[in-house]
Amino acid sequence: MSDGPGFIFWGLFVVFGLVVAGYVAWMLWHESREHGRSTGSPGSDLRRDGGPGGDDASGAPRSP
Amino acid sequence: MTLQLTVFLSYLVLVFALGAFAMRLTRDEDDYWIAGGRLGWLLGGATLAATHASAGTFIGTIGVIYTVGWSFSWLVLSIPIAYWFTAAVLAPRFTRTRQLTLPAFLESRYDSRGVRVLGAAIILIATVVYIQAQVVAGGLIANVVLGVEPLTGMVAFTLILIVYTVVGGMIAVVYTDLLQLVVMVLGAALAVPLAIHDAGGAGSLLAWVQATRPMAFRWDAMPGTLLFTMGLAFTLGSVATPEKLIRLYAMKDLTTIRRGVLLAIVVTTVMNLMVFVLALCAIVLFPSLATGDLAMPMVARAVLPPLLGALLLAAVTAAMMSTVDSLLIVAGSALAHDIVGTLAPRFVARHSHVWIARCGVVATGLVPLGLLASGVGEGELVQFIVLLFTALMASSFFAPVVLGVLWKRATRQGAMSAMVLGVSSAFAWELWGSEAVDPVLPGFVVSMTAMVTVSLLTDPPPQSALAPYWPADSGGD
Repeated sequence: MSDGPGFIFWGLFVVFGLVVAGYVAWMLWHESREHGRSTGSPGSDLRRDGGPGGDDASGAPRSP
Repeated sequence: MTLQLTVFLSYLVLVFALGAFAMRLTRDEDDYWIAGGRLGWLLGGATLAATHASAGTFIGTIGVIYTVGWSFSWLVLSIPIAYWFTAAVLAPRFTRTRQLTLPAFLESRYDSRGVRVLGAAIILIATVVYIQAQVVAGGLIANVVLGVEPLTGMVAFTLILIVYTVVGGMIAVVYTDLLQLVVMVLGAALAVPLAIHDAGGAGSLLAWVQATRPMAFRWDAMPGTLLFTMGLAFTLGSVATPEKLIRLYAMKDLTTIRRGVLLAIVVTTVMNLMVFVLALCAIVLFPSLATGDLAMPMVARAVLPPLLGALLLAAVTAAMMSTVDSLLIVAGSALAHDIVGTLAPRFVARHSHVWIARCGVVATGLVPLGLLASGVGEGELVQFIVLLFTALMASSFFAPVVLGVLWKRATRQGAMSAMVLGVSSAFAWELWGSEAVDPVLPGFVVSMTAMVTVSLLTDPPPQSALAPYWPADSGGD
């Protein structure tokens, strides 16, 4: 590992940028996949499938 | 000083106005605890980010980096990792039933009131610790800005928080969180270039820090085990703390959650990075502070023009308030909804649920203040109190929540063992264990081990409890 203010300092910014880019790519991939799957279907929200849970659970789907 | 006071008071008036506005929107318990489950990605992401950014960020983190150096700042990567895990793995199943609190989820998944009450009790106790850390920071700020005694500042901040949280519930918290996030980002973004300028420019800043504190840019400034286990605490805690989990119920669907999480990741991490740079500036400008926790107030008071200094301190206050109001909601719901609601259902049936909720918030808000007035918890470095809370939450809830939605075989006995043994191990380690290892490691290992072992040794949970979380397949794992 480097001891100077090189990688320990700048590397953090680079790694963070890469992680955010990865998340955005994953999110867009997810949305495009769901968009393709959901044409004509109720949508991607898994909670639409959910039934009632505990005493608070109405089981009602969320507002779209 | 007058200008700082004016900025402060204006900010507080705005917060109160939002609280009053939210009160008019709060019609029932759903609105009070989870904002009706209607939040879009902007409000949802903002409240997640504002809740994450606490006094720990603006006072504690800067204090630790001032003291031990830049290696600690790498723990910020726990934020995107934890939130990504939440959005990708946890949220799709965790939100399949609509609950108002984390303990209510535990009862739903494990078909057990005992699990619910136990979870609520742990939340109540640990939250008191966390609120104390924030209130201590509030006292420091009040001391620097207004010149009042820290204890007076702590009392004033806590009372302000209790009032607007009691009045407006989660809706008030969400709207004030958005305001507080804007103030935080603005305060930090304006402070960084000015502080760097005062420190002689970016190149000079880094060279100066390296020359005067060579350890600041070394990986071994902190024990590697401590750094790793603290990272584990932040990661697991960011997944399993109740005030963050409950926000998944407050957002309206999974697409909203994914977008909100992106907003939270970007804003929280960038804000942290700005604060870290301020810590380096503080090393150059104030090389011999008595405690690292004073670094941010000193930057705000001595480096920045009065208006910006006031804005930065308002940002610190905002960070503290946005966390404590969320914790008050979580602790209040644990007391009123989960403990009183479960143990005394007849009492609850006779009274307005929102009224009981408000009483719960007041009661849990006053406890940490009482403890601080008695001298308990005063003088601890803020960031380490925050870490302790995170470790306790992760040790208690990570296994029951995550395995609860990923592993059908997880049973109520397993969940109770995981919570009790996990939190006990973490707490015992904090008291008697090695300081080179964060308590989250023993807590997490014991909790997961207990969850798996006890679950396998006990009868599988009933299909009725599993059905909401595995609707398409009710078979074994």
